[in-house]
Order: sequence, then structure tokens, then C-alpha cells
Amino acid sequence: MFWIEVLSRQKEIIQRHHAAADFVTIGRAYDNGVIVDDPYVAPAHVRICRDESGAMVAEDLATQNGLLDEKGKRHHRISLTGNQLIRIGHTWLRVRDANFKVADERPLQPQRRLWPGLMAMLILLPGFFMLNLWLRNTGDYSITLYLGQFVSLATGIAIWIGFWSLLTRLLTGAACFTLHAIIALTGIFALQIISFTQDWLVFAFSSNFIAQYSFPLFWFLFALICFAHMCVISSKNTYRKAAIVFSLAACASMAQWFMDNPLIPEDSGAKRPYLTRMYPPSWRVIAPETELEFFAEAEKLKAQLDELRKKEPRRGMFDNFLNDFNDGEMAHR
Amino acid sequence: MPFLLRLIPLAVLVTVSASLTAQNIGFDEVAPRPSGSSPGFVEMHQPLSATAEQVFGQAQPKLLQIRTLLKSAQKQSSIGSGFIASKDGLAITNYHVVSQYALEPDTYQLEYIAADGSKGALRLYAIDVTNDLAVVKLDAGEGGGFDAFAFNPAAINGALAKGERLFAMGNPLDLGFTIVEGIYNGLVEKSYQPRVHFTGALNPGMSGGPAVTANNQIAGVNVAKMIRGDLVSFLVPAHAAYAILNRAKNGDEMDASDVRAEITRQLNDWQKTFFATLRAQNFRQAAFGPYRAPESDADWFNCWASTNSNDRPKPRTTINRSSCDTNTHLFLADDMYAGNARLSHTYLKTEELNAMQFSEALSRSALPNLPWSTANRYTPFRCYENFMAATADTPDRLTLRVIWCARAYRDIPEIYDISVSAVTQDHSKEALVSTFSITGTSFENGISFTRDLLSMLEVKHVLD
Repeated sequence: MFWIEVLSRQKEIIQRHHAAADFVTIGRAYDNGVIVDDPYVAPAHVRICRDESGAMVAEDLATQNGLLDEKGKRHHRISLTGNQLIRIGHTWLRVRDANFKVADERPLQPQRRLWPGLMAMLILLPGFFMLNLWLRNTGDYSITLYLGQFVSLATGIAIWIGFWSLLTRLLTGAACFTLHAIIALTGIFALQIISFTQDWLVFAFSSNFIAQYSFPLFWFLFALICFAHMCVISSKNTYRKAAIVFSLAACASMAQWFMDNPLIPEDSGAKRPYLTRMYPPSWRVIAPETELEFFAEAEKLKAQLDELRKKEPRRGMFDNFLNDFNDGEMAHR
Repeated sequence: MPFLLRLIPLAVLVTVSASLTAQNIGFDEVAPRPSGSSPGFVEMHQPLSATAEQVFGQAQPKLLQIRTLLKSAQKQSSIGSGFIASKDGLAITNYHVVSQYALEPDTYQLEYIAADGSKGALRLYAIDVTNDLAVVKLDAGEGGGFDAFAFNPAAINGALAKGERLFAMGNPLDLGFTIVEGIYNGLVEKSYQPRVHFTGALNPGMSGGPAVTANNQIAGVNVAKMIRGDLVSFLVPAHAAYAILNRAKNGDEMDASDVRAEITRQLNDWQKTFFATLRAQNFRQAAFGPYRAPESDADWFNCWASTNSNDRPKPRTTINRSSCDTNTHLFLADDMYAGNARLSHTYLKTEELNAMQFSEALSRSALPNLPWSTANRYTPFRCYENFMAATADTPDRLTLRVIWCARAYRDIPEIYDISVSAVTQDHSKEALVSTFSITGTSFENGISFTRDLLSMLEVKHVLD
């Protein structure tokens, strides 16, 4: 006694046929033990039986399209171990003996309750987003401002979650929507908090360093979000995934650093003041400088500028445009 | 509106293409005035047209059109006017007419065309960037001496009477030598740089041409006009032209390095005098809410106020601003001006916004004004930013956030532009934003001027 399983292209089981005898034919015709509705399958295509030693085999019944193994190679006879897949026409089959050894049952785990987490994030993220928007709104209140910003944020997040859920559904069969939603919302919430904190730290500590070099943190966090999504899809190959994602983030950081620094000429004005975002005065942490200290530092700019002055100016990104713009005609004075 | 702010750069920079300007001006026929005295001009000794005719007739051989040619193409890149001022062939014009040649003699060359159509090369003998003047020399012709304009002694002493009739000449818009009648209206008031206010129609192309009295003596040099305004034009006073001419008589031909050294020297002297004058004029403390901020007493450091308190719907932050400008602009090159100082104080106060929102509003108004740096003229700006505190012995002084930026001029050593933004940090719902910028200063003066101004930012605490 054995079972014949018809699989989808994704190797999911579509049908199971019980075969009581040790001999069954498969094909499109009605005299077969198992009927397959695949126009590429012959009326009588393959025979499943036992060989001399009693092992199960599949034998081609001299058909046009033949009997194929997993790799698509044609055979007259394939011996079947139970995990071996065979293909006739476009149909995948697997044959298992009744005494095929299946894995032990999984221990029943207490179900992870995802909804409270999702609900919490659904409150926290829009809440913080709106709060931030409100704190930065110095003009008149306008519902369209808030609504517009909220809708664009929500749309963006929905597309992101949708993408990962669809990918998961295709690869594993389950969408894991809630889990993806929690990851995405938490990640974006963290990005917002970090961004806010960064601006504040720059103000609180007069820190040019934070203003200039915090961008890898954002890339790292972005990589972490992607990594978490990937782990939902499958928990296999964790190290390899982490290596790929985080090295991509490192590359992105490097690329950004190059864009911000050596590639853009010093003259292009890429270096802008950093203490431009203000917070309430009481949010400062370190003590201000004295006037003497301040001007001692300011005086050091002279050496920097004189050094820059000696350097031949390089062409900036926008200089071409400006030069074209300046091509005037004759000028009267 | 600070009308003078735009005056000189706009006027100097009327570098519109010929065709465009010609369209704007049009060629309307003006009916010729009938000869013979008209009833409206009985006080004139002779008919006006006859005077102009006489002046122009005498002046014509001494007038020049000065062209800057692009050497490689042998075509004009800009044109202006000039006049012969000495028998040995020295001619006076504006610095901005010859600036391209002065700074880049390898790329450009200078040429004159006289009224009789004769042409020749010009050599540069002296420049005065603070008065926008230059002296060039014509190659001596066969006949020996040149016919030259004389200076009007009264004009040199600044003793011309307001209302005196002047005649400005030059070649406007390359249309040919022209004479324009106008009126001497004294020196421009509220101007640091002395400029004669001439009521008459100066047009692009006439820069560097002479403005003479009825007896054909130099009273000034055409330099600028006001775009917004009718017949409001400006002359460089005769004494400056006289001085540079005398300097040129004893001087030699200048090459590009001489020009740069001379500009450096002149700018350096200029800014020293400028700051000394500014300091001597005293700063008063103007009140902005509880804050006190410095404003100059000098009438040429003119302040204009604006407010948003009458806006509807009512603004959530009231913003009162005072902007002061010296209205001085020294032309160095088309993309390089110096000698301007601006100071503005903006008082922001809110009752509706919370502290966080107010600081956001503050962020937007407290950015330093950093103009684009053209790479071949300036280095990029470099800034030092930090929070600066009052010292214990000056309780009225404030904690400030200061962004102090400077850039250097590539061609002019020891001259910098600075731009500063300071914000008071004593209150979460009101603040004073002070910004100021100075172009063409020494680094030391930039620092010490900043220090002086910031030390005058104070808060007067109201005692409950």
C-alpha cells in the first residue's frame, strides 16, 4: 500500500491518492489508477510498482514526454525513496510507502499574541509622528497638513508591509502580516525617535560630530529592519542574511560619506552650519563657551581659509550650470 | 525700501544685451526744440540747445568709447565711455568699465574709439576701486599733445551750486556719442561714499563719460543710475577724478599683479577708515521688547523696520524686524563686490506657540545669510558655531547661539567676507535674532566688530 501525491509547482500537496495495490498506472485516461488532468501527460504515462527487491520504482510507459526527475532529466525508470520527486508533463508527483517515516509531532507552543504589540505600535507611531508634526507646526493649524502627512506616511508603511507579506506568502505560504506590521512600525518608530534625539543631541552638546557622522546609524537601523523581515520569511541561513544586509548598509554608508565628502569639491558649499535647529534653551546640556573661548576658536578659521585660498578651486556640481547661465552677450557699462 | 541698496549694483550692472535694451528704450522721435528763446527759458542767456551744441562741439574730440575686447575672438565683451584728461593722453573712466581687462589682461584687451572714428589700444595706469575710477593711457599720436578736458575748480572743491546745469556725455547703448542735459543736485545724502546726485538720463554705456559744466569743465564722472526712479543718476565727484589723474601722472603702467596689489591696498585702507568712521559714529542701543541691540547713529547706516503684527489671520509669532544697510558697494568684478555692511535685528515673541514650536520658528529665522560663493572669486564659507555665555560681571549680557562664518577672496589677500547669526537663549517664548554681514573686511576687524556688536546685545529684566 502506498500514497501518490500530486504537488504544485511550489511543491505544495494538491491531491493525495491512496493505492491499495502495489501496482498503479498514472495518466490521463480513465483506465488509470490515478487520473491527472494535464494535457502534457500521456493517456497512460507512468507505472508505479515494486522491483525485484521490493523497492518502489516509477517506470515510463514509452511516452512522448517521458518520465523526468527533479532536475528535468529523462529516465526510463526512477527508484522512489519517498522524498524523491518525479515529473510527468507539467505535473509533479511524489510517491510514499505506507510505512514512510514521518517526523514526530511538534510540541504545542503557547500561541504568540501579536495583536497587543501591533495595537501598541499603531498607537505609538502615529502618535509620535503627529506630536512631532504638531511641535514643528509654527503656522496656522490646518487639518490638511496633518491629514496629508499622515496619509502619506500610512501609504508608505502599507506598501512596505504589503511587499514583505506578499514575499513571505509566496515563499512560505503564510503572509505573517501581523509580524511584518509590527516590525515595520517598530522600525519606523525607532527611526523617528533616533532622528529626533540626534537633532536634540546636536543642539544640547553643540556637537558637529553627531550632525556629520550619525548617518551610518540610520543605515544600520534600516538594515536591521530588513533583516528582521527576512527572518520572518525563514529562520534558515541567518548568518548569511545578516552578513549580506549589514554589508549592504555599510556600503550605503560609505557611498554617502563619499558623496558628502571627498567627491564634492570643497567649494561647492556642501559644508553648511549644523547648529541651525533650535530647541528650548532649557534643553541644553553642556555649559556655553565664554566669549574668549568662542572668538579664540573663530580666529582659527583664518588659517583654514588662507589654506583654502591657496588651493586651486575645483569644479563643483553646480558650477557648470552657473557658467552656462553667465554666458552673457555684450555688456554696456 | 532701501533704494540705494540696489542703486549702485543695479546701475553699475546694467549689462543688458544691446538688442534687448534697445527694444525697451525704443527709438521714439523727439520733436526738435525750435531754435530761439522760448518763453519758459527767459532767464537763460542763450537758447539751451545752443549751449548743449556748443559744449558737445568742444567736447567731442576728447570723448572716447572704451571697449573691452575678448582677445581670442577680437570682439567686444563690454563697453563704456571715457574722456581725455591730460595732454599726454591720460583718459579717465570707471574702474568697472576696465575691470575685466584689469583683472585678466591675458584674456581681455582694451581699445578706444574716438568720435572721429580713430581707434587705438589703451594701457591701464591707475585704479580707484573705492570711487570706481580708472585712468588709462592712449598711445601718443603723431601730432603730439591731446586735446584734454580741464577740471572745474568749484566742482573739485564741492562748491557747485545746487541747480547748476551739467552736461553728461558718453556713448549710451553703443548708439553713438550723446550729450545729456541735467542738473547738479549736490552730494547724495545718507551715503558713506561721496556721490553726486545728477538729475539727467544716464544710460548703460555712458559709464566713465564726463559730466561737464556749461564752460566744458569736468564736474564729475558718470557712474550709475537708479533703475527705479526717473532721471536719478549719479556721478563720481570731480575731486576723486582729479586725485587719481594726478596719481596716474606720476605712475607707471599697471599689470595684473599691480592691480591685485592695488585693490588689496585700497580695500584694506577703505575698511580701516570705514570701521574707524563707524566706531566714531557711535552705536546706540535700540529696544526690541526686553532686548537691547546696537544700531549705528551714522545716517548712512540706514535702518528700515517691518512687522507682521498687522497680518491677518493673526500670526502666531509676532516678528518685528529692523534691517540696517550701509548701502556701500564697491565694484571689484562682475561677480565680486565688497564694502557693504548689513545688520538686522529680529524680535520674535509668541503667546500662542509652546516652547518647542517657538524654537522651531526661531530655527527658521536664525539662519545666517551665506551667499553663493563663486569658486573662482571666493573660498567657500567656513563657520564656527557654538553657544556663548555672558560672564559673571555682566549680568545683562545674554547667552547666545552664534554662527560665525567667513570666506576669503581668492585674489585679494587679507580680505574676507563675514556673516554672523546670533540668537538669544534666555527665554523659551521670545528671542532676538541678530544677523550681520560685512563684505571686504580684514579678519581682525571682522572679529572685533562681531565682538563689539555681540557685547551690546542685552536684556533688561523687568522686575515684578
